Amino acid sequence: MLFNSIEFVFFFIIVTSLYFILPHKYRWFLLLVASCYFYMAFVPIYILILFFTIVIDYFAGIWIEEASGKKKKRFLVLSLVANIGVLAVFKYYNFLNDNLTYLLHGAGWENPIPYLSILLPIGLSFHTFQAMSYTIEVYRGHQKAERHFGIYSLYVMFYPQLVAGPIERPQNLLWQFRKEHYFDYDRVVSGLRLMLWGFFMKLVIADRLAIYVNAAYGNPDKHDGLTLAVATMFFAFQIYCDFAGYSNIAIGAARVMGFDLMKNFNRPYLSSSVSEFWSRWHISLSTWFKDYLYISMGGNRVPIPRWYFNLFFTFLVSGLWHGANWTYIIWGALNGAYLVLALIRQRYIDKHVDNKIPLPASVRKFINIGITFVLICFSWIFFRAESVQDAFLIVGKIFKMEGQLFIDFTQMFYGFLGLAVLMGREIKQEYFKDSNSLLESANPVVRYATYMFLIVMILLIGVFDGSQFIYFQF
Amino acid sequence: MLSQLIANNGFRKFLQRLLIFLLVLFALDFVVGSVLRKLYFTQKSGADYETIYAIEKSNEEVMVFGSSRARNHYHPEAFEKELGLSFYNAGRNGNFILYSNAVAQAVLKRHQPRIVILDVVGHEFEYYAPNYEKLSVLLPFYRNHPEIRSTVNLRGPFEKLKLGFQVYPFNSMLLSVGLGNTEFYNKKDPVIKGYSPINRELTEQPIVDTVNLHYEIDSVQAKSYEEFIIACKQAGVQLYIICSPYFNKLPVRDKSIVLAEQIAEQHGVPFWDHSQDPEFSWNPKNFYDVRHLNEPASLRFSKKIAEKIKASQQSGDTDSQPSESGN
Repeated sequence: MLFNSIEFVFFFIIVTSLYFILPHKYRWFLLLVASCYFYMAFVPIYILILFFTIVIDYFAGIWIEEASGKKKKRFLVLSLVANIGVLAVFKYYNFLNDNLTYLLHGAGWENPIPYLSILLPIGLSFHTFQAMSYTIEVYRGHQKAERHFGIYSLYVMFYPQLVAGPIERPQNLLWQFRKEHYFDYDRVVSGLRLMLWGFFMKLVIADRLAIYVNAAYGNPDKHDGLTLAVATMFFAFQIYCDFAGYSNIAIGAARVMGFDLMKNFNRPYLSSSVSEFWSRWHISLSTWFKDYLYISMGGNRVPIPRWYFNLFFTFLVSGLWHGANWTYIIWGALNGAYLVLALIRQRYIDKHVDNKIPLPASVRKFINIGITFVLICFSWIFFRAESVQDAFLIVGKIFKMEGQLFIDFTQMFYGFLGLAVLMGREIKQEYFKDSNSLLESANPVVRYATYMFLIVMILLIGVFDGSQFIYFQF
Repeated sequence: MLSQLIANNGFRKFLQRLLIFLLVLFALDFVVGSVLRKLYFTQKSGADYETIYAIEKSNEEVMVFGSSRARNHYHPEAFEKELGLSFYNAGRNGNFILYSNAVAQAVLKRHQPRIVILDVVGHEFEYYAPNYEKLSVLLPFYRNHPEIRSTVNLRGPFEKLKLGFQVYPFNSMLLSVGLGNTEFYNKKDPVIKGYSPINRELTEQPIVDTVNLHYEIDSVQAKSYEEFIIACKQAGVQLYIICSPYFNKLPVRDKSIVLAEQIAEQHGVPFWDHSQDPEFSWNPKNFYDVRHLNEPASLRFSKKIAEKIKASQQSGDTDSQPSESGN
């Protein structure tokens, strides 16, 4: 079920109302049934894949807790193999087979391995990563194994974050299912407010910009460099508003019922370095990779070349996590390279050069934000392009900057209108922290007027064709 | 637990404020929606203005329905001169049979033209989600034109619910309604009685469309096409269904065109397939892109069609006239 559908509005009202009406002891069951229904609205049969990993990880958690030494590790490996195996089959099998075919073809051989004609289960990478974080934390002794099968299932399937995160940790979420939540006015209003802002980001900005982006990226050979550059900038905001919009709706929906989910975005485009960007973008995934891959490889407590490798490799895997395509791998590699180059610059250049440029701190920050945005936009070209060939075609055209700008006046007008509201709010939150933004204003007239404004904007210029969230495919 | 919830002060406060909020929201929606409705129907230029004219004001004796190809291919001058009848082109860019049928139903309820031309396109009956989404251009007419409702409802199961908001029919129209109340669109792209003249020729080597012949027929759109025919027949209108020229040379006939011809035959309606008319097709001087004739070619094509209509009317009962190719 899509958040941006009328079905979800009914679903949310019914589930939330029942949640507060039912006695605490039945609430986990209500949420589990609701989550199953939510997931089965996509491809019902795929619930069995979820069930398979839930059963494995549930027992693996208990066995890990009860075992010791090598046996403990063996159960962790069992859980990781099951989860990564499901990902490998459903997400990477055809990609690997494609590459094998290409290699064998080069040698003049036929590939005898058949292709699988399967659809990628919605949000597979999200819930498998959340499930893996559970068994790893139990293994590390940071989390007790959950004995209640229903509660554990709910940890993996909790509907607000089931298909696109935030990817939660068991220490943050599991205990909340046992806590009795009462109707709390401030919490409910705060959750609804966050949902409203999420809907605005998705319907008014992301889906509007998508129209221009899809037109340009769908036919890069027919568009000029300037158009593709503008489309890339639009895509940067499209993907941000699409994904952060989803996260806000998810966090808001959970908050209404009394659950706290982790923050997933923190005004990433106001970052003044790529490293800062990654501490503000998709925080739940970045910290997942940091906690379970980067640190496990030694993090920065290793010789410098190995440290750089750890960083680069983590981003390479992050690229692969996003999709089974070379475009995502290049995107991950680019971001890894940015970070490694930034470390090299800090170590060997900055102390000699940086301070010699006499610029006020605010100007320096502004320039750094601009440079970071351009670097991130450059990497988005590979993320969004249909193929590596398309990506290089787009890069080539952008660098030539020839031709005319394709002006879709209507889409650009509405898009910029939405972006102005977004940037106004983000700049206020980032640089004027002493007072609330309009949406959280202490003055009820201003606050309610802002709610009205956002709702009317959604009705007036929102896109209502029920388009999917980009991150569902991951 | 329900009693506990009702006894919760926060819950009571929430319900009270929600009620007030919704009342104010609906009032605001009503005011903004009413202003937009007023502005929408006072437009002077643009595609919406042309739809308003077709549905609410048209009284011409010859009317053309269809997509951008209808809008670019049927020149009023030729029909008025050849047939001596008034003419209006109700084609709309990016809209196909669902839109044409809805507009025709609304027009026929109020006014019966003597001749109606429906221009069909290749892939007319292929399922394509935007064909349904683009019916949003008819939302402003939902309230006062019950004849279009069944078509608009095809957009989705919750359309009636969404229309509870007065602003919703004008979603994404803020800019076009504003500009439509000026002469902006008329100055940008002059339109002659719904016909849009384009004076360009294909200069570069055209990128010829790749033709997908393996698609499923969307029965909803095919049914809509049949409803269009039936409505015209019941209104006593002489209907001609035409597939106008394409630049492309097609390897085989498109299955939508074949089906459209079969249905037309079943109803005894003339169907003229000019999609591969050698007088126009394959000559880049006749087209401004691979799907659309330029103005001089459209004038010649319109003249040819008008003469054909005149001849068919002079020869007597057009209902029994067999379908024919345009060659």
